[in-house]
Amino acid sequence: MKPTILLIEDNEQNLYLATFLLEQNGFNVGPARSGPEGIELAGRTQPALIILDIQLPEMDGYAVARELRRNPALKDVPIVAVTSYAMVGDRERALEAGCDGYIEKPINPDTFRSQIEKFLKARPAGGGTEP
Amino acid sequence: MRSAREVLLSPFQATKSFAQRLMGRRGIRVREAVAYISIVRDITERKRAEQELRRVNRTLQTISKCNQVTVRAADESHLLDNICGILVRSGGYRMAWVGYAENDEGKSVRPVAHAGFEEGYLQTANITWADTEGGRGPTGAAIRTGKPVVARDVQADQSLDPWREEALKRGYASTIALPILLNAHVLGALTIYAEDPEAFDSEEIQLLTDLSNDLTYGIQGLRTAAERNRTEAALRQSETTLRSVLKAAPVGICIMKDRVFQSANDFWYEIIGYTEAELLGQTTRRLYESEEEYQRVGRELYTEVPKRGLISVETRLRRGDGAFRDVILTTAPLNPYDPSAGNVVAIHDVTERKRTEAARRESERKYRELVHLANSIILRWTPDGRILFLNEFGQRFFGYTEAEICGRHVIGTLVPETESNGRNLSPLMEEICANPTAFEQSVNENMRRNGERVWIAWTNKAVPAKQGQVAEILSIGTDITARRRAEEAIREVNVSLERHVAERTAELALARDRAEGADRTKSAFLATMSHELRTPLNSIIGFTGLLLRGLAGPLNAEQTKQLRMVKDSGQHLLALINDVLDISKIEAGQIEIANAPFDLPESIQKVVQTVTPLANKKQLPLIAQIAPDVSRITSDRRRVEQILLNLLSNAIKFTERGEVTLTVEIVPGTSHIPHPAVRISVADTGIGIKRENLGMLFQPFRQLDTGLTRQHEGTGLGLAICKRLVERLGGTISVESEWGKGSTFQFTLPIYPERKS
Repeated sequence: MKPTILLIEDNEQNLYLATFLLEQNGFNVGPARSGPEGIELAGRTQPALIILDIQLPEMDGYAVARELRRNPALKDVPIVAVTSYAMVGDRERALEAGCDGYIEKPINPDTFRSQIEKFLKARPAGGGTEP
Repeated sequence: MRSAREVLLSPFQATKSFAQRLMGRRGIRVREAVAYISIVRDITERKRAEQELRRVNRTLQTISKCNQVTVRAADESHLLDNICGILVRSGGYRMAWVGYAENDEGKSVRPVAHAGFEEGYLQTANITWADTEGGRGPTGAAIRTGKPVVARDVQADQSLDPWREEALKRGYASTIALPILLNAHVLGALTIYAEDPEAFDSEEIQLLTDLSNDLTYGIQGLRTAAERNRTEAALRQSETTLRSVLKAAPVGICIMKDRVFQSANDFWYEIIGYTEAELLGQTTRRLYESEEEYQRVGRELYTEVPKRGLISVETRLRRGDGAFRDVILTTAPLNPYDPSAGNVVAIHDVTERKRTEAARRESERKYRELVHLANSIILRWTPDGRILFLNEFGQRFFGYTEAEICGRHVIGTLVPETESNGRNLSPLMEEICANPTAFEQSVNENMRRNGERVWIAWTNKAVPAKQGQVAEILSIGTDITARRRAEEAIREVNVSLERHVAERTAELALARDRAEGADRTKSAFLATMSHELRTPLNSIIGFTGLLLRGLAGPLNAEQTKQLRMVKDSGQHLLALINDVLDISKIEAGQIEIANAPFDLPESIQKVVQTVTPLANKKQLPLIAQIAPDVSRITSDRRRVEQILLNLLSNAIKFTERGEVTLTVEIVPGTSHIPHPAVRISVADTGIGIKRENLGMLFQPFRQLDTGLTRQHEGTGLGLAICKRLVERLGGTISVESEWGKGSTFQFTLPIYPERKS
């Protein structure tokens, strides 16, 4: 079974783009369009990796990361923040909130896969996502 | 019988008294009476005159001998011994002795000489000259009366009762005591004992009296001579003493006659600096600086001396070595009745004393000047508050004369009872007196004579007496009235200033709050706008990238070309949005600057790696020169990298051939940057910048030469951002360039950021 990646992204186009790229690279994608939805889905599906956009409406990425980290079942799931270059301080705050790393926006299709795989290797996913 | 006759004849010649005694004892002593008696009678009658003559001769001879001894005798005890000896040997007496009358309690008679058959008689006789039993013998009586006393028959004379037995044992039959008179005073007695009773007739008594008189003269002569000797010895001793005293005296003394040196002691020569040989017999003229001075001293010393006996004059003398000495000469005549005998002159060297005195006077004068003219109030006062001294400056300042202020109490004169602000000064004065060390510095209000109040800063010092009590207090004061007024004025100004500042601060705080509110709004707007703009852009770029990689299906060449244009424009737009957001945040002071140590060479390496593909694409060598002492700095790593990346990207972007050189080094502190800094230079051999354009280089949206913009794509905000970032990091940025030759951008960063409050 393909590893499932939880993708929390409010922008429909970006969600589609990332989903497209991830599926192209052989992952299952669980999409969530808001923080609370992502948290709910994460708790239910035990993804191999969570990709989390920081600039979310209402509940921002930091709050979502902190909430996810509160769930012991998800303690081994890598969380990768997606931040913009211009937003200085976002990355540090993301790491503080419990993220394992970050990917710069806009997503670069050439490097996206390798970045994702790097996090998966560094922190093997828990749960029955592997065949 | 013949022998008996001869025996009998011999003693007969001895004395008349013997014959008489013999006749009186003839029945007892003589056996052949007939022959004996006839002979006796014959001789007595015949020889009387002859015998008398012989006796007188002998006595005269004795006296003559005695007189010779008297004349020759060297001392009294010898004389007396000799006289006694002659009386016995030559005069034929049994014993003779001389006793001196002692003025002791028992008026004893002390034997001083004797001769003849004495056998301890005098020692046991205990003869006195008191009118007692022991003094009624001839010796005692003669001393008492001053007249010769004769005991014709020891056997019969009652006055000899105490001594009779002892006298008879020694064969003393008669005795005479002759007083020795010295200047009408009885010195003692010469007492003579004879073997026969009635041995002293009037003639003999007279002769012996003469003898005793001669003896008296002899004793007198000897005593006078002895006295003279003693006097002379004393005089010699006195002279010796005087010489020693003169020698030892710490004052120069000389004897002068008509101003000519006679003699002087060592000290004199020492002061004068001449030897005895140089001065003896010379006048004192050579010692004086001038004839006038010589004459003046002469007049003063020698015309006044006869009148006043002792006179001193001060002058200056020139020593043998040419040095001058200040001296006081004191002179007195050697003999007040004979001025021609000369003078004794004492010299006292006062050069040092005069020098010391002059120095002391000068020092005192300076001290007085200092104290009086010092531009400070100098006050001395007693612990009970009385003023002892106020210097001239203080007198002028307070408006008193010395006579008016000295002796008065400080309170009510210099010190008002209460300060204008109501502080009672009496306790303060008492406290200063009680414990001056605790009040080394005091400031209080004082009062001039005209009532004007002044403020004085005082320095107080206790001058201790012997037992540690405070003898007086020395206070030095400075008028600080003007300063205090100025201070008060400043205080008033300060108060109103503070009020103004408070009001203004409140206004500003309000304005700031408003501005901050506005800023927050702006910031939120920017963040939102940035997000809103970027979100669609991200998908535009993302999808074009996706399409270009052929992930959505194959593309023909024209489609690929156009999609690339879409992607480039999208990326340019994204860069613009990022930069605008960046510069807005910087200008609004909203960026956070991290201050953490990081390895600068490592960061540089990272940036170089990032731009190396760009350089490689243009085949430009990219040279990085990092000095070995460049290591960790404390700054904002990401911002440093951002600046460096921008500069390196620019350099590569604007250079077609040649090279790009990155130099990193440590520069020591300068007057502009007081701390060591790291200097990073990026030099290129590119198109360069025209001089007239250098000024606007770091301003936003000023990418130069619009014709090139298309060729060298950028937002036009890079250098503006760099400049603002460098400044926020505490550094400076500058550029040197020559059109067509290349540019060098250079920025410095402090190794440690300056602490900002």
